[in-house]
Amino acid sequence: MSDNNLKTIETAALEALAACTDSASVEKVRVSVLGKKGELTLVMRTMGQLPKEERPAFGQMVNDTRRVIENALEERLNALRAAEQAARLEAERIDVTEPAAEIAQGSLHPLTIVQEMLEDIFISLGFSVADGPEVELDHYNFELMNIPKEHPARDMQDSFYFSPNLLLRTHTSPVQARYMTTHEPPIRIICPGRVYRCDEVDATHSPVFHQMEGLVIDKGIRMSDLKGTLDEFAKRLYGPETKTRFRPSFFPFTEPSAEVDLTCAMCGGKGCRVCKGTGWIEVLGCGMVHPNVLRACGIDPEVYSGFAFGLGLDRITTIKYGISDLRLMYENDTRFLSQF
Amino acid sequence: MNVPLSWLKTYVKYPEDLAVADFAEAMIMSGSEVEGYEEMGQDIENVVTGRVVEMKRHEDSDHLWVCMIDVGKENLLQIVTGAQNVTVGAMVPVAMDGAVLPGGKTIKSGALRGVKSEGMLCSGEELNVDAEQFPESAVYGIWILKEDTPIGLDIRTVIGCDEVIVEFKTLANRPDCMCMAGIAREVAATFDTELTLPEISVKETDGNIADYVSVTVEDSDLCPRYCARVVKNIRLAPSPAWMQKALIGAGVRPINNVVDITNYVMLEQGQPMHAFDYSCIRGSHITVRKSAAEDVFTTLDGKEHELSMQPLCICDDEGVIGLAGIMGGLNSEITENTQTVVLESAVFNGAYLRTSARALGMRTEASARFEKGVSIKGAQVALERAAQLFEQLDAGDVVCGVIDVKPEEWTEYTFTASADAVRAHLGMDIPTDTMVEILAKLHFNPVLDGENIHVTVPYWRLDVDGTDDIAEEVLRIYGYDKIPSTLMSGEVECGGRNHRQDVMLRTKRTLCGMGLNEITTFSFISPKWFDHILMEEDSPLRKVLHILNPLGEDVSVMRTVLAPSMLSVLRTNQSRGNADSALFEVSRVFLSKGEAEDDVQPEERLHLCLGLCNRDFFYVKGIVNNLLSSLNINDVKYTAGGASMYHPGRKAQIIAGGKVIGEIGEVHPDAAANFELQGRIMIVELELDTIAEMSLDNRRYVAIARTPAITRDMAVVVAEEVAVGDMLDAIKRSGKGILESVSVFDIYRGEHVEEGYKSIAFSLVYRTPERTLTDDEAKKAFDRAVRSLGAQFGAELRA
Repeated sequence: MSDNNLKTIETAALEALAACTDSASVEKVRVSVLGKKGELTLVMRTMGQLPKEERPAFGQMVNDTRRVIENALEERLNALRAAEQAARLEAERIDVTEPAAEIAQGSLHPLTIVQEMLEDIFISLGFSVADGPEVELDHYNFELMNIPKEHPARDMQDSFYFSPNLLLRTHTSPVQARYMTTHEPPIRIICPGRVYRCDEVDATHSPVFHQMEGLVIDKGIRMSDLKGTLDEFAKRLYGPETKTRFRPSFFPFTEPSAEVDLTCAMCGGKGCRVCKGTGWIEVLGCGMVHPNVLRACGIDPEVYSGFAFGLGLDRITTIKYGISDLRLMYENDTRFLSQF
Repeated sequence: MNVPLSWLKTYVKYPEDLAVADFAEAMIMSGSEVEGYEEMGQDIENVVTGRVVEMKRHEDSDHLWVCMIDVGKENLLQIVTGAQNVTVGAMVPVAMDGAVLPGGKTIKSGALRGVKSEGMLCSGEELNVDAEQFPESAVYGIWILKEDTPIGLDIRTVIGCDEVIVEFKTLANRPDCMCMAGIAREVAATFDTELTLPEISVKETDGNIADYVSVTVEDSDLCPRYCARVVKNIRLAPSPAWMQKALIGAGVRPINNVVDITNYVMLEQGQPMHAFDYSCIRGSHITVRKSAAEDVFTTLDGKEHELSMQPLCICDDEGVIGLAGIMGGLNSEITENTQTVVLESAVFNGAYLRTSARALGMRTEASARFEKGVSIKGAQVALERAAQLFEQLDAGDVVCGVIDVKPEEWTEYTFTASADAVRAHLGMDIPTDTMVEILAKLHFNPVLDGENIHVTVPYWRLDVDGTDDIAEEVLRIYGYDKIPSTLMSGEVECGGRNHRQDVMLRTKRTLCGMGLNEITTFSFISPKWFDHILMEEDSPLRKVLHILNPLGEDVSVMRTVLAPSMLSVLRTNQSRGNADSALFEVSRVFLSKGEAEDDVQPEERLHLCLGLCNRDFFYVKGIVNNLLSSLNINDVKYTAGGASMYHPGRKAQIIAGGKVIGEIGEVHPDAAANFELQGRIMIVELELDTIAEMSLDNRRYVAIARTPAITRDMAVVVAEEVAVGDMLDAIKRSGKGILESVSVFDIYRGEHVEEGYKSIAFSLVYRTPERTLTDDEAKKAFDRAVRSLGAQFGAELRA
């Protein structure tokens, strides 16, 4: 046995490996050379026939050859596997522009989305969400709100009645009244919900619509706190650049009262179709809670003061999404609903 | 209220060079509500008055005239006209070269049949002139103006349409602004400018009113003050041009000097007035009282009214002569024969009047003012103003003396506001001196005493009675735009939603995630819908609240169930070709309690309704299970049954925690047909309030079993009427603590299974978490399950 022989084995093995086209043929080469009956294994077995002193050198030579072949083998295998994987991946290529599988996707009503958004803004300012009945007693809807029977302010409210005493609430204010009569200050609540007025359905009116009112009662509450709260609300609603504009107004339940305009979210105050060129959109009515209201609800106006505000959810929703006709919101055409 | 600026300017100094838009804006910011304004005559340009100085026939025409017109310029204008009513010397409206007429028509110099024409003579119609105001304009041909009209005058001045009309809306608390004087006061305070309201003084002639008429007021609550004067020797005539112009600008038709004075004073002072023909007051005695129920009365407009609701009336000794505060009567109308008038200036109870006016279906300028409220003192002021105008216009002679019926003397209302309290209320550092200045401008006659301000409420302000009102008065003039932004102080509140609100929102999100669209429908429905959903006649859900004044029969009762609204929306979508809707709504139903159902607040319960087209029962059941599971309600059972709106064989009550929490079913074909629905419709209606109460997040982690499970499948044949749910229950009971789960993986009917029978395949998983189960234990349990199914349901293992 000579190193010549080993060289021959090595050369033959390397040639065989080079000729391999897949990992299976590499495995065949491994078995034929390094396997139990492989050529190199057989050579190794002849070592016993050698004189003792030649064995280490011979062993070394065989091992060197083995290492060379093993390395070549692994290298070849890696290369072939990589090529095979690349070929498989290439064969698996898909057209990613083919349509997606249809996963059923529902939608929340735009009013729900906006109501939740506004609730979250006020919740983050420490407000709780309060509920109350929609079929309301005249006492809570009007009397406690400083709108006694025959008060001219009732002209503003054409209401649906069930009896002289029972009606569909015309605003969510009765929720405030009920809350004040059952809770001690400090009070900090918002009351979102459905309200009703005798308006025929058209593009901007609906006999059923949605409001959110807010109420804060505590010691030392000032008109400037109302401004501060609504400024913060406006910024969170339409972005940090949003400004508020307070205009004098009248509501029977607040004094002083104000209408609040926000800089138009569509044009940023430059003037556009949404704001009719004024740069402002009217969104809110508010004011300091009238002492008569506090007294009627069992709160001492000498000790406590507070503010209240109210906004139309439908209006904010139609502005936010550019919905041109209020009727769309109550028609529930799925082509409309799916857009939200 | 329409305010002609030219009239307003006679009462207050209008800031120089102030554009109307800026005027309106400033008024809004100081608390007036300005609805809009109209600059009249904007559409007429370059039309002037001119005199015809020469006329000759057009040589090429038998009807055209060539006129030479003097418009006050160096050269005469040559204008060709086809009108036949023009004469030499006539004053006419001349549209000069470049003129614009209403409707946008422009006039240019040109030639008519070869003859130069430097403009056009105009008819009344071409200038859009009000024929009522200028009767002479309503002729066929050119409008021939009055002789004395100056030459070269802008025609807009002649027509009186160089006017700006500002429309003010009266806030419910500011009836004092329902008149020129009130608005003038606001203008003066807003722009810090001079108020020039007329000085009122009356020149009485002779006689004594007591010799003419006496007045009795039966109920001073309904008529807290009644003032009257008598004017004799009435000289009925048209009122002067300035008064007519003012009235027309404000939208009131001039009639004659007597009526015009009463209207003018109402518009100026806000106090409605009435003039009776003295000769028509039978018995020379006026009584203010409610009418008799059987009375019938004809008002000035010629309409006859039955007075069964007993409005407050002005009566003489024989009957009604006026509806107090609403309208006078035909029987005491001012006519050309009127010699003497009784002028009434009274205060009537707004609330009573409002009810009467509504019942009569009448709303007049007068009644609108009384409803909002007029001042006790103002009644007297207005009467004096009217008397003054009678004298100034030479419309009659004012008889000495005034009738003034009132329960007590009017006294000024005064109170003290603390400047500190105002500052604290507003959160603004407004100096006390500034407050005093502002209050002085608003006629509160403030007197400062340390930091206390004594105010005297002016007689026309009915809305001010406390510190909060003073704060508002100060603020609106000081400027709402100066309110600073501050943060609330005080105890920190931890806000949020309550459990029910949370459940509602989570429910909506979960359903949205399962592919359903949320809808929003009206809370009132048609009573017919109960029939449409085949509801039994005696169902308690038919006990509904009825709206007394609904917008229509189809929106007249409060719903006690959401399903019909859902079916209606499904129909809308089907009819529009929106296939396979899957919808839900969360809303309240209104369940009547008690017998007098329309007078007691109903119980308002939150319901959830699902409505799906072309989905099968078990798909929708899966949605319900997922939803309930997301709310941590897992022990849910379905038992056959439910409302009659459903398919009798495909409906179930949904039970959780031992309570029926809702119903699920396929809609009965008859109900579907009633809603014009096609195909199979699934409806679920759930009681969300009950679900919210059950939905407690009391979940605890259960250790994941590390021991292996043993799974055994079985297929059994049972009769068709055996409920799978019952079989599952039986299998669970047989599990004896080692059955981890059981599920149905196949239900088969057909070949190899006898008619009337079905094959159910169950998969049973056995496991004990603490140790590895033996095959023997599992086999015993499995055999128990098989035996149990056999014994209870006659189930046989399938070969």
